[in-house]
Amino acid sequence: MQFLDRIARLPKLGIGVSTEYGAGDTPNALDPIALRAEHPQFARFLEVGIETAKGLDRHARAWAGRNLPATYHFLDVNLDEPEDLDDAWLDAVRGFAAEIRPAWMCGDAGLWHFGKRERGHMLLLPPVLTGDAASALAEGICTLRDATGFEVFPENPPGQVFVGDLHVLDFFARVCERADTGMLLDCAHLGIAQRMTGHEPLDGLDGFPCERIVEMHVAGGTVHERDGFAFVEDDHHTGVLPPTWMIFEHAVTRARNLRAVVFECERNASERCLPGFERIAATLSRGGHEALVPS
Amino acid sequence: MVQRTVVRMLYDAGFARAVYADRDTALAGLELTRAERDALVRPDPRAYATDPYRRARALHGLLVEFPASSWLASRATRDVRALDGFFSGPQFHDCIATRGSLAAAFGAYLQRAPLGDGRIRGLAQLEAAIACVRRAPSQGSIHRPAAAPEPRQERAFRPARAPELRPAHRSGGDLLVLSPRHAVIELPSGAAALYEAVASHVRTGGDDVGAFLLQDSTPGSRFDMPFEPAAREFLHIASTSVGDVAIAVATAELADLLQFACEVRTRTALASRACALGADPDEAGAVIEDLLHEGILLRLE
Repeated sequence: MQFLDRIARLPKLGIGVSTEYGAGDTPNALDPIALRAEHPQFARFLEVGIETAKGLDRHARAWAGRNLPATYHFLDVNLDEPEDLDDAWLDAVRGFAAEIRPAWMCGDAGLWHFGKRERGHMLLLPPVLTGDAASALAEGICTLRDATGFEVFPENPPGQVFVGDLHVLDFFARVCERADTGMLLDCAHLGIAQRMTGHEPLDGLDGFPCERIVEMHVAGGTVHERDGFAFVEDDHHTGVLPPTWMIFEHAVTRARNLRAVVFECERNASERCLPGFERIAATLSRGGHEALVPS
Repeated sequence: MVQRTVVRMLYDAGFARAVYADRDTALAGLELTRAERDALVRPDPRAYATDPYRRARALHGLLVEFPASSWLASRATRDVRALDGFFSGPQFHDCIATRGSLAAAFGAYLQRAPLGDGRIRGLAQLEAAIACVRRAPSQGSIHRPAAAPEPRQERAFRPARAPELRPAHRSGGDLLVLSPRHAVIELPSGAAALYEAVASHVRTGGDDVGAFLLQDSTPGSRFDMPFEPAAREFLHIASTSVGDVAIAVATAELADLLQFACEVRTRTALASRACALGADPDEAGAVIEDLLHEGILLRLE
């Protein structure tokens, strides 16, 4: 079955929040369960970032223990390296997936670690933007999908150095087509990539197969300058930069198969996050995605 | 290879400058096409230098794993930040280019760097072995397909690695091998005691090893302990659980037997080796059974 047929089986999760090991223990960080109690429309699911060496923290386990909707966001696999999808890692992934019962898997399709997966090797770099790299990435997505039984959606990563002859959206269009899968479009990451490669925020979006966008991320960032060079740090603060909103608002109207949107603000107090959630909800409603924003 | 070169440029500003200045020279010997070499220098060069703390973060993680040798190095160099030079050296670049282990590369760097204290080499060797057994796969995953090659670094110790079956060895009974969670190394006499003393001292500084090494004013003379390169001691290093490593002095005979078992051996061959080292046949069989029972030797299916 082709992906655009398979997608009909995927639930419409709506707006959710993200977490990763230890994020919920940051002072004054939002509590996903408390947010769901107070503002259920903004915490309809939890995207759990998982590094298998760390596992699930108490917040993720508490969410899973309530049988609430979740997605599995991997933080430790180089999908374009076949040796990285080894049996031990796949066993661990299947184990954590059994605990949180995700609707799907997703994660930045980049270099999560250099060398083998071991302490001290972690980082996150965007993929090399070439046709060969897109094919290698697509193969890894298929391997992970076959090994776990879950749909696997690549996310465009952040970064300051983008190398390769393809535009980042052309690259991911190829990945999605070759893996016959959907896409997690991170609007903040795309804004960063556009800026670093000399493009305008919306460049390339009209040629992108937006029907493959299943999930979107919105997150705040901070502009820094070093040696006269300005760049954006993807720090997940609540201050969402204008290019990110521009991309989100543009893509929402074209992403007819959109199932979920995450506001990545896991280390912030919930009251500081509410304006962002409200703007996301309003944008979804205006964009024809009322089903993702139940009243 | 492109991605690995990007990593090297991110960590080493000097290397990045060299690539921008003359990429053919700086990248000589690497399997990179003309287009790939051009692509590496297309971004604004300052994009490679947006994270000024990248090396410090990585160094901090390494100091945690090499507390004793790093402490001695910080006394000898008067500034632990001198170890930041690792990221500009051949061990680091070779590690990234060959998909190696950063800890093993740092251990190799400490063993070779002219840091002014000959004891650093021995303790770095010991701490590299500890890091290696900590990273070893669990017994259940020993038959995983081999991953990418190990870094091309000389190691004075011989940690066990996930073995490959060799059918030609099957004629002498079970196939046995040293567990990758165990290692045996030979060091100057006194190395284990010096390691325990210095590592314990560093542990008094809490979790932030880097800050402790920067601030600690304890003179190196505090640990002027017996350390005799002419005399040797054998250490058995065992990863007993995640993050828990035990070090014990081994007899020369046991060390020899375990070193022999770094390669896949038949039970008969191991027993013969034990006998050659002085055991009688019954004793040799019992030793091998004990080593299997304790998980030091693994039986390959």
